[in-house]
Amino acid sequence: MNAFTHMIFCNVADVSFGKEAFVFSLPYYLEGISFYFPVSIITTLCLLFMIASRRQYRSLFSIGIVSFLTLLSFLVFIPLSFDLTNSFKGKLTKNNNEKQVRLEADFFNKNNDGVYMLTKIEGLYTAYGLKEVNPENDNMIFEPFLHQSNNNSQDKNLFITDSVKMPQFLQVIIDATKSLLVYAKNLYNESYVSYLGFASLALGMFGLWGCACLSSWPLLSALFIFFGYTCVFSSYFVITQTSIIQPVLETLTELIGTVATKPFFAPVVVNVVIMLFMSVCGLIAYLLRRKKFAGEDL
Amino acid sequence: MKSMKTMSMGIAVYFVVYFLLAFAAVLIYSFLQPVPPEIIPSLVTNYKFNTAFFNFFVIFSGLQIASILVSYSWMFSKGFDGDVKIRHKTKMFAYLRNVLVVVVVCLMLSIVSNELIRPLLLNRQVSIIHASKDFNEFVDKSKEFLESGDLLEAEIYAKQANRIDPTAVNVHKLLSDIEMELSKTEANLDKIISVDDFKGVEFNIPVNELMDRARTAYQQESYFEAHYYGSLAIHAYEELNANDSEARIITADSWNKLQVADSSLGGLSESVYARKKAGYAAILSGNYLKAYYIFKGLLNENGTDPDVKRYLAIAEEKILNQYFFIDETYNLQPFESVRDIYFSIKRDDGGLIVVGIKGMSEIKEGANQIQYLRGVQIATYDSRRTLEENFFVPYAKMVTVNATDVEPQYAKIVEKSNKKLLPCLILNSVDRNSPNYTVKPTYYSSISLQDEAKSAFLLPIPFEDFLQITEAAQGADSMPLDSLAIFCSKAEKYGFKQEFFLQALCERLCQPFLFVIIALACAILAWKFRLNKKQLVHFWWLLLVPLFSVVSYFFLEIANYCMTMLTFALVYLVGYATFPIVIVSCLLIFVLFCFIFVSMKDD
Repeated sequence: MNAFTHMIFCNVADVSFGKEAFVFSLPYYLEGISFYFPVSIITTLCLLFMIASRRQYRSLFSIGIVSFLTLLSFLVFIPLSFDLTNSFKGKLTKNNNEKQVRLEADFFNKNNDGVYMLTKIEGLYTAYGLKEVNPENDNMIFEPFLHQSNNNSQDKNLFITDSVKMPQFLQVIIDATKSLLVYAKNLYNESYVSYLGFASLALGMFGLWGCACLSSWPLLSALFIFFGYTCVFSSYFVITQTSIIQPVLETLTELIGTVATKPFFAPVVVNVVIMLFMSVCGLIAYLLRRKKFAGEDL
Repeated sequence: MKSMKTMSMGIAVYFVVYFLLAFAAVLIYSFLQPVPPEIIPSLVTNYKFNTAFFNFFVIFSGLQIASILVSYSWMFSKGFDGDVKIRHKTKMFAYLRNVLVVVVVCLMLSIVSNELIRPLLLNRQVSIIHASKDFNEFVDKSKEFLESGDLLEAEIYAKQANRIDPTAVNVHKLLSDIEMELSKTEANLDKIISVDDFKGVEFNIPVNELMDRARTAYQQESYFEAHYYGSLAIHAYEELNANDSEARIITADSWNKLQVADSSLGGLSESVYARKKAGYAAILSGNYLKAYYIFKGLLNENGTDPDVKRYLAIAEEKILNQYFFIDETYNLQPFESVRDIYFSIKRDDGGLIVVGIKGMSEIKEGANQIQYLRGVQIATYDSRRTLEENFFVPYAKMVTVNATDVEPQYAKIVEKSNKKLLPCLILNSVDRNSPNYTVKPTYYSSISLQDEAKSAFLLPIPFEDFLQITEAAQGADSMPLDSLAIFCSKAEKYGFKQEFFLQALCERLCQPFLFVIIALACAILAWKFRLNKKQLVHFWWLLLVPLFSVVSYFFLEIANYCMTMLTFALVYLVGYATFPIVIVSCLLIFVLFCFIFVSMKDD
């Protein structure tokens, strides 16, 4: 379903470039699968934690199942999805440049320079029309112009992009997720040991059990799990995609040697710390509740 | 079912308290946010309050969804405490009924918020920003004109700025500076007498009445009036094919008397009489603008002559079909209802008319609405798409013309329209007092000089369509739903892609269904994650409740975005069939969710 959404998104983007679209596009669908498969696995794990947390700490069985699935996902499923993507590679490179850009007359369009209308089309890529001048100009709104483009034109129709504009926060999330997945895939292609740095996220996710114990109201526990999940991935993004912890790593290198410079070192340490922190918080909250309500499981 | 009433009451109290607290939070947030630098100080508070209300209604649906989720997760645990004998299925149906009532109320509030309140607040926000920009522009222009010595222009701009912000100290100082400069040159200014006190222009006078007036005027030796009414009577007789001999005699006699430049007629000096006669001749020959300035000059010199007042009023009435006064457009820019309008019209001969308008103000004149258009550019193309004419005019006045009064081909354009009116742009404007200052279109290209001399441009579209285009110029999202629905089928005629409007329509019509589905899903989640029966609500939980609203808001945004994408794709694929497809899908999901809800176990 995610891959299908991705295909629609790519087709809308094509339309904004003036290309034909909205036929089933296998390259876009495969691209969607390669991107959304790991995302879907990880999101499903978060939902599983929430569902299991409804019974909270009462069911050790559910803890076991979800933990096992988490480990399995990070150690087997996600690497398998990377292998699958590598096999798609040939098909993905066959991109949609075959689609023809079509110039259309008598319709208003908008690009970064403003509104324009093509009034006469000559050939595939040349047209005459009117385009908006600088709004400060007090003596004119439009002036005649010659429009020239090609099939790789990056001249988007802003009327389309504005009407299907992605919310900014979603764009940020998707960009961050993409960069994380590319990073993880590169680690996996390098070696499985390097990939274990990414797989250490599973440790961070075990800490979500602590979040589940923070409150006796299941809905609030689910919210804590959601924020815990966000926290685990945000910290991984910060330590792998930014240079914020670089000074700390340099200090650690001086203290414990070159192991601190290994790509898996920082993620493993941070995820273990997150797991311990969340677990301790959850345990304290649980014990306090038990004490307050004289052993009743509230 | 006492428990249900208690539950509904609890939900209502939760909603009211939570919404009040949320509004207070949004108000504080909006007041702490920086204001755009162009907003003038007197409008800052207005802007902040408007922003606060707008922000509140932006997150309104998110607040509702979060409220359903949280309040039901508390209330479901208390629902049927005393009624242990009721079957679980019956309980779930009662809960579902309660949830659906709350969801429908929330939906209605959400529709009012999205379709009525938010567009209003957005328009207000845009007006405040425009007013501030205009204020700064007017102050700058006024200063420029004051420095260059053009005091009248400086005064006009300063007064416009003063109208926007009557408390602005810098504008008061500017006005007093202008006044001081004006007082030095006041002696050079002519005294201007208004013609407003004379409103005696009458039309469609019966022919008998015309003859009576002509006879009476002739007997009273008022030969201008006798000739004027006599001429009108002859014209009327010609249309009726009736005997006009008496009218012709009175008219000819009056004209002969007028040829004698005798100061005994009306007691005027010879030169004034000659000017009066020249003005009258200009009216007869149809040169109303010339007549207007002659009588205006005479009125300024001698404001008591009833002939001068009458013919000035007649000339003014006539020229208003070809011109408008420049001063009619003063003070309009800050009150423009729409800006940046552009559209094209496909002519029947395959040609194209492209129209651009910088801004439009609507003024009520009696029962009619008059549109003044700022910065109008019109480019016309022939069927081979060669540019015919391309002109720009700083201001144009729009009047409506009945299709029966113009060429027959226009009747076809308005055959489906109720009012049969066409919009006509009066392109030339003149100064009320001086013949030396006129504003005409600037031609960048034209077919002939004769073409450039035209004073009006008739747009070959029904007037209702023009009004819809002005609404569309503000964006499909802010168009009233009914206009949007009608405009979808017309969009391509006016240079817009139908898909944009159809997608916006489908999205707006499907949003309520999406809201109901999400609300119902939240009720299911609320049941699944409900509070333990023995558990009391902790105070510290209340502090974390706003986090649910944040998550709900972002979740709704994602759902709406997916809906936008889906409707966009469907509109491109199946066009108008998008709406039934989405509605049926939504209804199926709704039924499925209802089924899931009543099937949930009391675990």
